[in-house]
Amino acid sequence: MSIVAVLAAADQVEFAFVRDAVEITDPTLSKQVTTLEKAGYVEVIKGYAGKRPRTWLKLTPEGREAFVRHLAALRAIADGAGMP
Amino acid sequence: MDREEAAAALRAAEGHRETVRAASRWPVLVLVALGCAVFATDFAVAFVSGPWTFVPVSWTAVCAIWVGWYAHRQSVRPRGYVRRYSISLGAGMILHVAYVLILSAAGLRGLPVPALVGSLVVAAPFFVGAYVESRAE
Repeated sequence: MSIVAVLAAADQVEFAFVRDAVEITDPTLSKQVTTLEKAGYVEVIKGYAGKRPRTWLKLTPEGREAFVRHLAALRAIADGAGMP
Repeated sequence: MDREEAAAALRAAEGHRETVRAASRWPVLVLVALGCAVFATDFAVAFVSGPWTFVPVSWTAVCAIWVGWYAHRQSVRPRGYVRRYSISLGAGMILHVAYVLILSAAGLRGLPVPALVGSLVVAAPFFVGAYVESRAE
């Protein structure tokens, strides 16, 4: 949820930025991203900054839709319209 | 999940959104810098001719190189910023060409007031773009 919330607010976000924003380790984020990628929610883009490799994460349209649905469900619960 | 957990999850999502939003503001600086460089260049261009034109033009070139370097270093690419940035850049370039043509055709070179007004008009799309970027969600 936190990873997708970070990605939803931008077009592309660098791996290290997401890691710092969500406050998790590289391997944990890597594992979560792999799961999200397999679900078709996140796209991983590899690039370079000079000679240094950089990884960018991007939410797919499906991922964005799923996030919007999830937020709507959370709002419904928080407002008392959903499950108690 | 109960109501409090859902509310906490929503608050956390909003917190992350704010973090990313704060890191997404860098195009504002880029557009303000470009606007200032274009303004200074176009104002100076009204008072020079021939090879001397390359001196003020080099200011914009240096600024453009810095913009490329600065943008490449950023960790967040805001949604739709390329489209908004392109509109500012395209409008600025069109106005620049019109400014130079009018300045030359009307014989307004060397006059401070037309240079000031024209330079402000050419730089305006960059400042408007910066304002739009600063308010982008």
